[in-house]
Parts: sequence; structure tokens; C-alpha cells
Amino acid sequence: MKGTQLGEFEELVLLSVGVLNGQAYGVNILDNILENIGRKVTVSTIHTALYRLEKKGFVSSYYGGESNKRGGRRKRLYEITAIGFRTLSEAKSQREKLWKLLPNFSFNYA
Amino acid sequence: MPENPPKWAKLLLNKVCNDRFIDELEGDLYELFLRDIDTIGIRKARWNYTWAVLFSFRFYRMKLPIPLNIQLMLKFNLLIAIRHGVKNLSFSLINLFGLSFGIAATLYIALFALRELNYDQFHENKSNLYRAILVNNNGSKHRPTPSLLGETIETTFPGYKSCRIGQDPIKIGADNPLLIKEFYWSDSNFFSCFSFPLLRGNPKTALKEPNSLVLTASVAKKLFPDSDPFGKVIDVKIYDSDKLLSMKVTGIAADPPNNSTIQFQGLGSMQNATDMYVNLVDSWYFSWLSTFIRLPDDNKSFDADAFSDALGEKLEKLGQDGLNAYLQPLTEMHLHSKDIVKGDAQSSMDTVYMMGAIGLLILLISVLNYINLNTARAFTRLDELKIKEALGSYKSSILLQYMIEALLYVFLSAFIGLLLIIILIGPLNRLFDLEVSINTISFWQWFYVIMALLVTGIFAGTISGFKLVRGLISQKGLRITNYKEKSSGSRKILMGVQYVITIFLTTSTLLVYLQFQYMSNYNLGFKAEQLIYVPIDDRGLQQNITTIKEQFSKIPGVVATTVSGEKLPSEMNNSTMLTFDNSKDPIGVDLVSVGRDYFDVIGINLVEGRQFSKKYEVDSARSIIINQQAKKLIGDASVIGKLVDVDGLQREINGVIEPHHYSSLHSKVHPVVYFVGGPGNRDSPDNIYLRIETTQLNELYDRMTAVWEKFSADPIAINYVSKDFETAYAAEKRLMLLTNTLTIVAIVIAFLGLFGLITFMVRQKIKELCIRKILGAPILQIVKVLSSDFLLIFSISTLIACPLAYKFGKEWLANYPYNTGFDFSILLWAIGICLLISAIVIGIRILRLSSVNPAKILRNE
Repeated sequence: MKGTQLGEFEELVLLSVGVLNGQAYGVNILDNILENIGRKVTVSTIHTALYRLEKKGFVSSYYGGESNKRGGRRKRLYEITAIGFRTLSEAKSQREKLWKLLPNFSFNYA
Repeated sequence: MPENPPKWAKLLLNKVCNDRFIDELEGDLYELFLRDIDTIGIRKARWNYTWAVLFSFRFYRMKLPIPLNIQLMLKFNLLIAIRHGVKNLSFSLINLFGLSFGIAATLYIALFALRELNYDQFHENKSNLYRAILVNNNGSKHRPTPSLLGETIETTFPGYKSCRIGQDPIKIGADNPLLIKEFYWSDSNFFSCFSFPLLRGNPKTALKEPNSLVLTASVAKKLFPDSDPFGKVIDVKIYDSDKLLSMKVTGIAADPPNNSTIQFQGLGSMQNATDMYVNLVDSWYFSWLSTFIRLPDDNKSFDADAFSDALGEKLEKLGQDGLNAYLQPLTEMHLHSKDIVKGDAQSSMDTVYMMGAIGLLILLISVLNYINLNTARAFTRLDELKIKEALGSYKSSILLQYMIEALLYVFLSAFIGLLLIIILIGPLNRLFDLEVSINTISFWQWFYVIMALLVTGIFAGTISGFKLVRGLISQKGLRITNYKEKSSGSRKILMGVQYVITIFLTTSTLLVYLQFQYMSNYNLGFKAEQLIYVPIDDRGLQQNITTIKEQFSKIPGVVATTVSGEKLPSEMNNSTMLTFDNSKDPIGVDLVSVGRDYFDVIGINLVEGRQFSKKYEVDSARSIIINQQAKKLIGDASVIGKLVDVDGLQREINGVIEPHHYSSLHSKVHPVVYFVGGPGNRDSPDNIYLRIETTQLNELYDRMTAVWEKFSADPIAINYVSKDFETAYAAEKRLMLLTNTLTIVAIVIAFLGLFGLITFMVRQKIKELCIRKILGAPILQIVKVLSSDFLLIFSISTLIACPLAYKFGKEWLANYPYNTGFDFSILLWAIGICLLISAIVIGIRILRLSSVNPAKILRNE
């Protein structure tokens, strides 16, 4: 179905949401991507990716508590949905399948 | 307490981002901000925050002015608009055609105005280029200047460079010569001053050497259709000096663009001119050249007063008291030269303003029409609005709906208007004798046109929308059926404005028409009918002018012949000074050489003195006849027999002629001195005049041509004096046609609107009118019911329009030294015309009403 494709950056964000296990929101997804991947992105980019993932049904969100640390604003916490997880693992297995088909000489570039 | 992020950034964020996302976005940004304070300091943290806010804009989280799904709403609003349009077809068509005509007329005017304003704008150095205009001691301004003026300006103001050009008709080629009227002798810096591209040759040196010749591409093509003219040596015959030169083609220039005031076909080195015309270099009286001045490139501001003061001082030192000059920006040549003698003014700023004003008024009329018709029909759409309101529609979305509808109409009309212009631009150009083109509009100008349409649409939509929404609030509940408009005050005002504009335009067009008629029928003071002249441009042929004249006079049908150095209407090419008293300032006069019987032939009587004295048979230039204007300046009670000094020669005044207009009524009659001149000079007679009395014109032409061909290889040019005077008023004729057409468009639009309104009123009052009919009301009473409002509005509009029309009419007439004057009957005519058309419009509607069967209308009650 059109619109359920997973973009490269969306995949990173979706994975991060999974990694952070129910505690995922803008700032810590940003940190996670910076720490583990080494990519510096703006928080608005992450929000946009989350918005698209939610529209596709791969993540669900709920409001966390507000705090002084956020200037009185609530957190929007994200967690991965079943369908999101399935899409993620499907992407992974598809990739592995392709990896297996890669001829041996590939080590030359490793 | 931690420091806060910039307040305005936070505010902006809250303004732009909607509720669904603000918690997440602002919270996350704040968290990052706090972290940034610890790591990189408050200043940078605030900076980062601001940038993050500015780049956080995303469409999906934008706050919408109307919380609806825009796509869907647009679709349905369009659908509703189209359905309404089809349902009330007559109204929609009136709306559409009114707007289309208005937009088409405005577009055509805009094209015209843009073309006028674009004149001479293509010169790269335009901000530093000026034309020097000579100012005589009597204050008159002249485009032709002596060659010394440019040199004097160059020496007085270091860094100023002058470029002089002088027109001189030539004939190129040996066996099949080509006459080139727009030929100029020019200084060698011509191509560095002006941005006329040179296709072949070096722009710096092309005009340096004597005998060098630059041709335009089209002339070169005509002369050498098959070969390359560049570098060729060709024979050139100079008419005025009667010289034959061998000139070398040193450059091929691109044809000057249409929007250039300087229109040359060929250029030659100024060196040739100074060799040929002896007085050119050192005489202050040989006013012939156009002098252009290029200011230094680093010049930021030009002080006109300081320039005139310094130049006046310098000229006084040189012995030229009272003479001065000013610099006219090159870009003002086209529109601001009306008061300059021979200033090449083809148009004026007044015309541009006038056209612009008419265009805006027409657009206003058509927009008012739209608003009026729309709000008048409001009640027919009340059902729809009430249901929308009941279903919880926002007021803003109703407004938006009207806006979209208005935009739809405006753009549809713009499309039709554009089509109209594309189809009609050819015929319109032919009618008005203009060269307006739609291709000259640049991208940005299109952008402005579209923006203007957008603004127009939004304006019309907002006004009608607001009125409806307000009407809606005043009608509480769902009492749809007995909706009655409480007040139609604003509609009456809008209609009044339309009437004011219509009356104003009608008055203006009548005034322009009367002025044109006045000028065409003006008694010029001599007999212009049945008078023809044959110009002889070839200086060599002028030696034979007496012989040709004699032979012409033998043709049957020719009553009398004479010669003159000026055409009629005259350009007065030869200005000089007249000294009548050594203690007084000399006066500027125009000098014309004529035949002895000139005044008899063209039909001017002498009021004083007699014809040219026989005493000076040999030295005929010593006997002069002057006109009334010259006499007035000399101021003496009797001037006959007085010896005066004209152009450095002592002459005797023999007579004074009765007043007559030697040129068009655009300019005042200046002091003129007539003398009898022989052939061979610059000021010799070069026109043969023939008084004819015949109906066999073809035979006359044939015989004249036969005579002519004995002397010249050029074709004969036979001109009618009366026709040439008519063509002098071509600009007025065009203005008259333009204002007439535009006024008719405006009137049609306004009365289309009136027809719509009347139709609506009849529809609203139809039951009242039917009951009146049944009760036996005469038709007159029904007319009264329907037209009493109109009469009131019309009278008030008249009171406003008349003073306005009077004021602007007076101002416009002041441009003409000889004008018809503002006659109050013009106002009465305008009012009468508007009233008559209104009466016809109302009458048509009432006639239709009288044939309606009242029973059919009242059946439902």
C-alpha cells in the first residue's frame, strides 16, 4: 500500500522509539541518534518524522506529565505499535535476504 | 531561576503552531534551551532557540485561520459559486461582462501607459544623460542649440561630455538613390553616450574620421540586399548644402527601438557638418543641433539651479546676455517636452495621467457594479446562509466563500478581458493610431497585474461578504421568508459614486470633443482651403525654384503661385534676433523668406504699410514685413519705415500683416519677420505654393508631375495645407477617440449595473406593484415608485460631479493657448445624456412589467 513505506530517516527514528521503550520523545530521540549513529539533526526534523510515522500507524503517542524543565509544557511520548514493529522487522529481514545474495567479493570494499 | 528564551520567538511559535503540536514542540525546544545554557552559554542558547523557532515552520502544524479542511471547502465553495451563477444567469452575465469590459479597458490603458513611460528607459547611462535646452531671453525654450553651447558646457563644467547631433536629409547611392530623412551628423562619442548597439564596427572610432558613415541594419539591407556594405565607399548627396560626398561605411547599427525618441537611420561624422556649414562652429545664432550632455559617472546629484547660474554667468562673459540653458533628463524627453520648441514631444504626461485616471475609474465602476449586484441579490441566498449558520458555520468561512466567489468572477473576467484584448488589440491600435503591444509586458508587470486582480477580487469579495454577514446577524432566527433589507444606504452610496464617475467621464469626453472641433475649425487668418505646396528638399534643385514655379503657374486650374521658406503649418527653423533700439534688449524673432506675392496668394491682408518695397529690388532682404506680435514687442505706434537690425543686417519695415496662425494651435503665435529671399542659402525659399481652383485634381497632379520630372528624379510631394493642419491635431484626435471609447465602455458598464439593480428592485417590489396595478394605479405612479430613489441619488451625484468636472476641465484646457473655454452647457449635456440613458434603462424594465399579469404573481398569497 502506498504511504506505508518506511523512509531511511523514518526507519532510524522508528528504531530509536523502539530502543527508548515507551519513554521516547523529541529530545531523547535526538540524543539517541546523535550518540549511536553520529548524525546531528534538528528537533523539528524528528517531529516531522514522528508525525508521519504516527499517520502511517507505526507509532502511537500519549501525553506525559508536564514539568518545569519543559517550561510547563507536556511531553508527547511515543511507543512503537505492533504494525510498526512488524514493518521494522520486515525491513530488516528484507535487507538480510539481500545481504545473503551479495557475492563474496564484497569483502574487498569492507 | 534560569534565563528565558527570547520572548518574541516564543510568541511567534505560539502564533504559528497549532494546539496539537505546541506542547511537543515548545517543550522540546525549551528542554534543549536549558541544556544549551549549561553547555554553550546563555547568549548562544538564545540564538539557537531563535533559529530553531524560525526553522520549525511546517505546514502540517500550521495554525489555520479557519479550522476546516481547506481542499474540501474550496471544492464546495467553487461548486456553490458555479451553481449560483447558472441559476441566476442574467445577473451573472451582467457581472461577468461588466467586469470583463472593465478589465479589458483598464488593461489596454495600462499597456498604453507602460509604453509611454518606457520611452528612452533602455539607455544604460540614463541617470547621467541629459538634453541641453536653450532658453532665450524672452524665456522660450528651444531644442535646437548652437554648436557652441555644448563646448561652453564642457569648458564650464569639468567632466561633463557633450554629444551633439544635427538632422540633415541625405540621398545615398549613385544609380538608384535612397532618400534618408532621419540622417544625423553626430559627435564621435555617440555610441558611448547612448545604448544603441553597433552590429559591425568599433563604437569608439566609427564616427571619428570625416566621411565615415554609420547605417542602421534596415537601411543597409535596402541599399545592399546581397552584399556586405561594411567598409564600402558610397556616394552620398547632402540636400541642405548641395554637396556630394564619398563616404565610407564604418559601422552598422541595430535599428533604434520603437520606444526611443532618437530615431536615426544613418549617422555621419560631425566633422563633415562643420566643414560644410561655415557658421556652425562659431555662431551663437545658428541653432540647429540637439545637444546631449553626459554627466560624470560618479555624479550622484545634479543641481539644476547651480548649473543654470554658472552657465548664465559664463555666457554673459562670452557676450551672450540673457541666453541660458537647462538640462532635461533624457528619460523626460518623450513626455515632458510640450513647452519646448521643436522638442520632439509626441505625448505628454497629462495624457498618461488622464488615461490612467480613466482606467482606474472604469475598473472602479465595474467593481462597484459587482459589489452592488451581489449585495442586492443577498436575500436570494439567505436560505443558504441561514442553514449554514444553523449547522454551525463560522462567520469567517462564509466570508471566505464570498471571497472565493469574487476571485472566481474576477479571474474569469480577467481571462475574458485578456482574450478580448488579444483579439481586439490590432483593430484598437489601428483606431487609435497606437503601437501598443501585449508582448512588451515583462514578467514582473504580469505579476503586478495578477496581484492587482487578486486585490480587486479580495476587495469585492470582502465588501459583499461583510455586508451579507452583517445582514445575517441583524436577522435573528430562521425567519427566512420575510427577509426585508433594513437599509440599502451603502448601496445607494456606491450607485452615487458610479453616477459621479459616469457624469464626470461624459463631461470630459464632451470637452475633449469640443476642443478638437474648435481647433479643427479655427479660423487661421488665411485661406487654407484649396492651397497646396510642394516642398523642395534638394538644395541643388532650389536654384530652379523660380523656373519650376513659372511652369506650375501655366497649368490650368492654378490661380496663383508663390514660394516660401516655411511649410504651413510652419516649424520656424530660423530663429534670430531683432534690434530696434540700441538701448533696449533685442527681441527673438523667426525669420522667413517668401516670394513677393506671398501674402496675396495665401490670403493675408496687410493692416499697415504696404507690400515689400520695390526700392530694394536688388537687395531684397532689406525690405521686411512683420506680424502683429513683432510689432507689439517693438512697441512703437508706427513702425512703418523704421530701420531695424535683423540677423546682423539693417532692414526697413514696410508693412504689418493681420494676425494669422502659421502653425497649429498648440503654440502661440510668435514674432515673425518676412523678407524676400533669393535661392542658394540655408534660409532660401524651399516650398512652392499653389492656389488652385479646379475639380480636375487628377489632371492637375499629372501636369504637375510632368513639370516636376523635367527637373528632378525624386518623386513629387503634393501637400494640402488644410490637411497638414488636420494631421497636426492627430494627438487630440487620438485622445478624443480614446476618451470617447472609454467613456462609452464606462457608461455601458454603469448602466448594465443599473439595469441589474432595477431588475432586482422590481423583483423585490413586484407584489406591491401588482397590487397597485390591480387597484388601478396609472403607469406613471409605478414609474415614480421605482425611480424616486434613482432621482435622488442622481441629483446628489450631479452636485458632486459638476464641480469636479469643471475644475479638471479648466485645468486641461489651460494646456491649450487657444481653447474653446468651459461652457456650462457641456455639463447640462452630460447630465442630459446620463439621465436619458437611465430613463431608457428604467423604461425598458417598466414596459416589461406592464405586460405582466398581476394575477399570476399574486396567486400564492
